Amino acid sequence: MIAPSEIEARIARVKALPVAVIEMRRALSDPKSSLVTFERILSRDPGLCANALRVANSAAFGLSRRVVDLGQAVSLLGVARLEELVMSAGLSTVLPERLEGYATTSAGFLEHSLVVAMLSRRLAERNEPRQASSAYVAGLLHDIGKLVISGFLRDEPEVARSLESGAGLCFVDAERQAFGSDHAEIGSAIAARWKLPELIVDAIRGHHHPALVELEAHRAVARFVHVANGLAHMVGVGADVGGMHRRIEDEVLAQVGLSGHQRELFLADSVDALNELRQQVHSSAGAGK
Amino acid sequence: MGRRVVEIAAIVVSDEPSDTIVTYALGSCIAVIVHDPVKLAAGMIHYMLPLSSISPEKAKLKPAMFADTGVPILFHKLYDLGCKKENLIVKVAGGGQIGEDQVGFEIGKRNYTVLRRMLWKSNVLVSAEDVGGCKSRTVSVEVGSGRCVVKTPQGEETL
Repeated sequence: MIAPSEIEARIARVKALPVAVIEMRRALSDPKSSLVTFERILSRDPGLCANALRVANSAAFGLSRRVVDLGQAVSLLGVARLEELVMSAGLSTVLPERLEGYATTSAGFLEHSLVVAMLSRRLAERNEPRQASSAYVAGLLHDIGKLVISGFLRDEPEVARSLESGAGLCFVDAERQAFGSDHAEIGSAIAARWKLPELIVDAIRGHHHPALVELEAHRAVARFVHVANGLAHMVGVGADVGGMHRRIEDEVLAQVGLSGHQRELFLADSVDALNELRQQVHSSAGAGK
Repeated sequence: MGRRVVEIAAIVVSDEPSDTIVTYALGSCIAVIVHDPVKLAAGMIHYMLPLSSISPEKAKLKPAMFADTGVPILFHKLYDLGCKKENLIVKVAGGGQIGEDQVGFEIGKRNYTVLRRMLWKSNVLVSAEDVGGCKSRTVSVEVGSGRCVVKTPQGEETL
């Protein structure tokens, strides 16, 4: 067990989101903001700029010409995509190079986060289209608590080893047993420190056990992330020390409309998006997996 | 030396001996790896689902998404390169599953069962395999030597 005060101290040590990300979130929620506002914020952060242009030029938009102008990219992406893009860029800046305790690299962590974000959004689009962007952000940040737990696991490798041997306990429950908290709970505390909306905070907290979330609207997003996370592990994206020792709750699957054949069809529908993300990560990581 | 990446629901074949064919993170998907030591050629499919009957339209667009439509194409592409069936060495990896006891989630197992049935019907022997369990595997094969390596977060071994 780790003392709650120690856990809090470690949470406080997680990096803050970059200034541009915070400004962008503020601008996005301000009805007075215009494309020019967004363009100005983006243009001050070269990493964000490059990302915006890359996404605007990705296959998803299917343009025949290359977009080179930032303003053009912003109007093409639209507000919802802009929010997603800014958060993904923000996530990559707070990650350490390796998450030692989970035996994974930041590239592996990012790949899993991006895939869960994408699948969460697709599930929301089928069920609650208005929550699509929130589902994306919650999916993107669902494992952020691992930044803290990783340090605990590094100090107590026997916890990780007991899972590899397949003791039958799912990873998140093993974390709770060993440390008194788990990455879902810690992740929600980090999101709260970052002043993200309650909906995101709750969905992160409930992504392994959606029933923990009280508000139905928030619980719905937790369900999308729960299923997206399970499916991502199933297709092999996110192999860390926990391997494929996961649980997807059958009841939750039914609630998001993925029983039986629907599940296989959903996976089949998501293949192109999956391949695109995997390519992105593997080309930028130099196939270092 | 070329590194040829097999995406999900794709097939890559090569008769360039310095190539390495690789696919990342199989999860419950399966890779069938075929090598011809006489012709010095190899091929790999990374399929995701067992049977195309759930979506014939998808199978038309991306036949390598399914075992039943994809695996025959892999063999035919190798025959087109001049490989002979009797020389082919076939290996299988993947088919993992999440949580040992998740009843509704046996896609990995079904992926494997359907493949075994198909190979058995066409008299193809599997010379080595690493399938099942709660692991995700990355697999590569060297076209020249046929050396096939399976990597998991726990380490790597030659198949």
